[in-house]
Amino acid sequence: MNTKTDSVRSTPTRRRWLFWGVLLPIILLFAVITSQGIRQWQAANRFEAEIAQIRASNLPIDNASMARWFREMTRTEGASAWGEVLLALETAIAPIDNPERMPFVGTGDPIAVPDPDRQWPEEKQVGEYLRWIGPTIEKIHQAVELPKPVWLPIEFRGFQTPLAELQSSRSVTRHLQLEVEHALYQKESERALRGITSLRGVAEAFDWQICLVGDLVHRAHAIAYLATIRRSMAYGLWGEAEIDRIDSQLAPRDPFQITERWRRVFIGERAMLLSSLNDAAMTDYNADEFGAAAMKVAGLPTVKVGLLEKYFLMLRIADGPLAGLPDRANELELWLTQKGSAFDLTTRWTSMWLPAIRAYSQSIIREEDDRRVTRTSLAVKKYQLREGNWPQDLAALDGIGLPASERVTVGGKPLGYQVDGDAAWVWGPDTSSRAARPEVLPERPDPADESTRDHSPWAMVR
Amino acid sequence: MNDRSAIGRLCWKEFRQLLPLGLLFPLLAVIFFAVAMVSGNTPLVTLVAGGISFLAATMPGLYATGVGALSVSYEKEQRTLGWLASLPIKPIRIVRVKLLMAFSGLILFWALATALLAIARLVSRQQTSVIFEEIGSFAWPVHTLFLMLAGFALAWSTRSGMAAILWVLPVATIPVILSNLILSLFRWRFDFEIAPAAPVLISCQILSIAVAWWLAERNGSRAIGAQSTGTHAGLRSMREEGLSVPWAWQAEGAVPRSEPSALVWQFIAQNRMVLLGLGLMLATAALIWPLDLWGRGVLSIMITVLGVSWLGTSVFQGDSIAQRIRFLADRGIAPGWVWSTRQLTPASIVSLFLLGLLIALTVSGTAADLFPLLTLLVLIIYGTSQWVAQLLPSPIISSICAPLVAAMAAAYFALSYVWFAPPWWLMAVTILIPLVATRALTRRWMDRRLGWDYLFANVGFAALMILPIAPQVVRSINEPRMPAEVKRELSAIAPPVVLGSTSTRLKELVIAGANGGTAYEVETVQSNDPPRMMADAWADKLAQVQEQLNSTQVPISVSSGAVLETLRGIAELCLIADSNPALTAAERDEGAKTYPVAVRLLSQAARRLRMSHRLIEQDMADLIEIWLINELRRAGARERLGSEIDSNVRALLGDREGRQKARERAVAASWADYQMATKKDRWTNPDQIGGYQLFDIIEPGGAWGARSRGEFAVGELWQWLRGGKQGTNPQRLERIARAWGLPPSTYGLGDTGPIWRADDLNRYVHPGFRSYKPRPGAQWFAAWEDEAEAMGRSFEGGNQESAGVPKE
Repeated sequence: MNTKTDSVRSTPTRRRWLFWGVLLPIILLFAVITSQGIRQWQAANRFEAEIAQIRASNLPIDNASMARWFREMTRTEGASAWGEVLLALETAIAPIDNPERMPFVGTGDPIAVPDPDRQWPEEKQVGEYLRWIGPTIEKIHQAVELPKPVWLPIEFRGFQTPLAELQSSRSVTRHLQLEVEHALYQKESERALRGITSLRGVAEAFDWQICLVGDLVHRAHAIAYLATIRRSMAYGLWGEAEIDRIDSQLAPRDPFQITERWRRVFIGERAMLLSSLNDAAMTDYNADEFGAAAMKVAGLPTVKVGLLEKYFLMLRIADGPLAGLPDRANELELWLTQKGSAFDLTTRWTSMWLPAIRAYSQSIIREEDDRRVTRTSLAVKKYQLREGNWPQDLAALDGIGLPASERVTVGGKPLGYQVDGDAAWVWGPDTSSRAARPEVLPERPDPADESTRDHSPWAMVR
Repeated sequence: MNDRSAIGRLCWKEFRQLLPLGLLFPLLAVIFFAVAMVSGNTPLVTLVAGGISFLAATMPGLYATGVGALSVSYEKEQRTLGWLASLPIKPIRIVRVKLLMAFSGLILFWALATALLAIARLVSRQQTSVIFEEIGSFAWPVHTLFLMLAGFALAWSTRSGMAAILWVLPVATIPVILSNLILSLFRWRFDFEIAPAAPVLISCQILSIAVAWWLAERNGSRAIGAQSTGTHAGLRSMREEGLSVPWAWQAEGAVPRSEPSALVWQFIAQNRMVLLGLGLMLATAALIWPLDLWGRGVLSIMITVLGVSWLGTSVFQGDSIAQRIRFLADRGIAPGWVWSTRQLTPASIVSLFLLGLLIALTVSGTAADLFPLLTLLVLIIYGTSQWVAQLLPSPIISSICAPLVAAMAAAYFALSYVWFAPPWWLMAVTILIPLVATRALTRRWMDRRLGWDYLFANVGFAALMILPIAPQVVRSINEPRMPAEVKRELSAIAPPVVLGSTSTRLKELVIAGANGGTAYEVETVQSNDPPRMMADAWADKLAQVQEQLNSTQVPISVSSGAVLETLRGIAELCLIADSNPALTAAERDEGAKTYPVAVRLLSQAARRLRMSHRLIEQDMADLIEIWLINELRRAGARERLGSEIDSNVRALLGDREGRQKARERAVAASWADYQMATKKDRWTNPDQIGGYQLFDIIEPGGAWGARSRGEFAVGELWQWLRGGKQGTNPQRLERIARAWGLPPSTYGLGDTGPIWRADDLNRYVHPGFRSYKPRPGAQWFAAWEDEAEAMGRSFEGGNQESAGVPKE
């Protein structure tokens, strides 16, 4: 009678098969949901076990333990002195007219080509300013003698931890850079050398290996210190004794220290993540309620374990040769980026540092390359003082004890060297390159060319 | 009945038929508005206004999709096509009347949508008019006309309304596909600045409209014409078109059995096409989820919500058509069997979808962690939709409403999870309530007892949906609160005149160069001017501050922090000038002259801060006074400052009573201000108390929890203030730190506490005067106050007015 239903006649057997056929996916789904539940439960257990293990290793897991860890890693003896210095310099430039004329501490440019015989129109203003803040500069010189790194009061709040003191510390380095520049211009070698030594002290005082920002600020201090040494080479003030004093501060770092530093930085980042996971302010940080909901549901145990696994991978990157660090960082970053998506719940958290891994690893390499260029330029000057002429090439520096490993970049490329008139030039790799092992520029950088002069560490040695 | 009156009655019938759909969306918009306006909450109003904008833009689209099904399929469900055919009106005219009424409705919807968009803009205070952007310029309105006509054409050709709506979805893409095809085949060159896609798309839409119109009229005329040949002929015609009779087994003479397998088989036979269509839709969704994840996932979410929601409605929909369920009810089939066997097949398809999705996500290696959340989302949408389908008698209206209601339910669960932080098991129980509700009410639904008691029973179940709020209510009851006597004291002290206006009456000090100086006209030094002596520049800056302080007697705000920092910087540079051998004698003299001026201005600033009715300014005043103590501690301070300034600073520091009163007044006023803000804004918490941001103490519990916590935090401070130095103990400090979401060290606890709290000025590290540096009450009753008092005792009577004390 009904053509449509004839094809699916309702017999008890068919009906029974159909019934079980319909029921089967529901049973399967229940099984999957149960297994998912078990998976979450297991993940929760694993997460707890991991946390217990981290805690047992005396490593930070939240704001309170982060504060303790930071306290253990630093010294409080200099807290008061550094607090005074930071406070004094925080607004030291504010009462000044024309800060746009002031190099380093204001927005003014330093002299492009350091030259003691060249006019420096802003010298009068710089000199007056430095005379006024002289006692504070003296306080810096005294503070760097105190035990380092220095502890300062920080309110740890996960990823929202205010690191104002760390940012303020950059003002200390800038003032010292100005002090050294002025001393060099005035040919006051002892004052300049003291400033250079204090620059290193500032980098060590603020060597907070507690998070990416902390280490990047330290690195900025260290790179400024090395750059100041290289600028000083143009003034031709240094004798062999001064060169040896500076050179003694530039010994190569133990690779183990670099690994440890990386590990500590990401242990700190992990602690910030763990405290942020339960932090209302972080969910509130999202502008809308649905964003906040997404942050909250990102607290699923599997997500938390996934995040810990990613941090574990981050911690392991530093294992291996230094030269391969950017490669490994790049590889991991690419992998994490490809794996992540708008709906990968861990992405919301890893985005806090994901784009920075490669850049961070490159900053480590850059510091090391800067150190080698700086050390080589000191050796070139030392050679000239001894031999009375510039070395023909960098291989000639064997004679004054500079190892060959210090005359190449981390990527194994020989540093650039050229004698031009009364000056010798040493330069390093192209820092604007995104290559893992950037080439050394074929021609020396032109300090007068604003577009390229910062693309490579260079020293003009007189 | 003449032709004209027949047409008129026909129009009236159509109007009544479309009325529920026409009322539904404006009603939802009105509910949205009412919630927003009653709450008086600006962020919520903006959120709701955004929702209304979305609703307004989609409303005509949903109407256009459903109107065909409602107008035509409803006739089929009610078996009134025969009556229509019997009217002395040509079938084509009947069809045109239906189309005309639907088109009028569409125009009305667009007028309403435009009005809603305009109101939403107005309410959310967004002055820019982007109405045309929101409705997709002209393409979207034109597309809704196509949707409407296509919906009619399909509704005439299909048996059920659901099937017609399902078919509209793929058909809706035809103009878009066509225009993309044309664009990919021809490289159009336009001389005017319009994207070539727009004219091509609109041309394709117009072409599609013409075809859809023709089909709608042709199919309609045929369908009505077929009815006129008689019921049997009509039935035969339906069968020939592949449309089965309502109860297949009845037509066969088979008797339904109460055994579950028979009921499942009957359900599948009854909804075969719908289930197949929805199954395909969800299979597509499962396949595109991993691909779409790389984008925003909008398409995946949309198809999933629609597919799952319509599966939910299919649970009770088939049996609601023409009251088929009576067949089972009359034969005494147990409601439990009916409910479970109706659920089984859609639940099975949903299960298959979720399993497929899990496989797709796992294989593609993306977002497997998303699966539990998607499962929850699907469960919420399915549960809500099947509830809507049982509640609303019209299957077509329920099909149109269910996705919207289900999306709102999903939003509700997400928000309640964020705002009220219920335990997961309570969320799980609440999510199951719609299923429990339909199960409990199946008997009444089968018996078609759908009166008020049925409605009230549903409302009762809906009321249970507030369960996620329950833990917060319990927490709120058990949470420590501000004691009643504290409230009374605070209310008695809070000066009514300042309520709600404290922040507007504060003055911000500005200096060019310190904080931009935009608010204060100052003569800026051009960069090509020769640099002045530093001391000259300082004298100008100090004069600017003095002028601002003299110009008004209102309190200054904490946002003057940058200026205060500049004053401090100048004072400290001038102070160290005294022992700075690098400076000339003239420069040292300038420093010696400038230093006391800077100190005097800071002390004046401290007094002005004390006058503020906000807590944060009191704490900033504490920081300045601590700094002043350090200055007075220095050897030769009196000589350096001069006896007048020295005396006035000592007077300021020694005024413990004045400090206490100012703090009490500020706490009371801050609390009162907070109370006013909470009354004004019922749904969310004010973001500050006494100038302090509150996001640290909102968790958990949304606005209500935060409100009581805010009160508690202020109450603790108040009790501490009343307790004074004797009432200062580590337990209280720890409690206050917790209440304000700050580390205990802020209040001097722990080994680093002495660096934060000025109990020992030799160990204390002054944080400076930046506006973000003060912490609530962090320096109250610390040892610096004793030293300040001791310094005050040596005060030998200075001229307070010269130190900036305003005249009474």
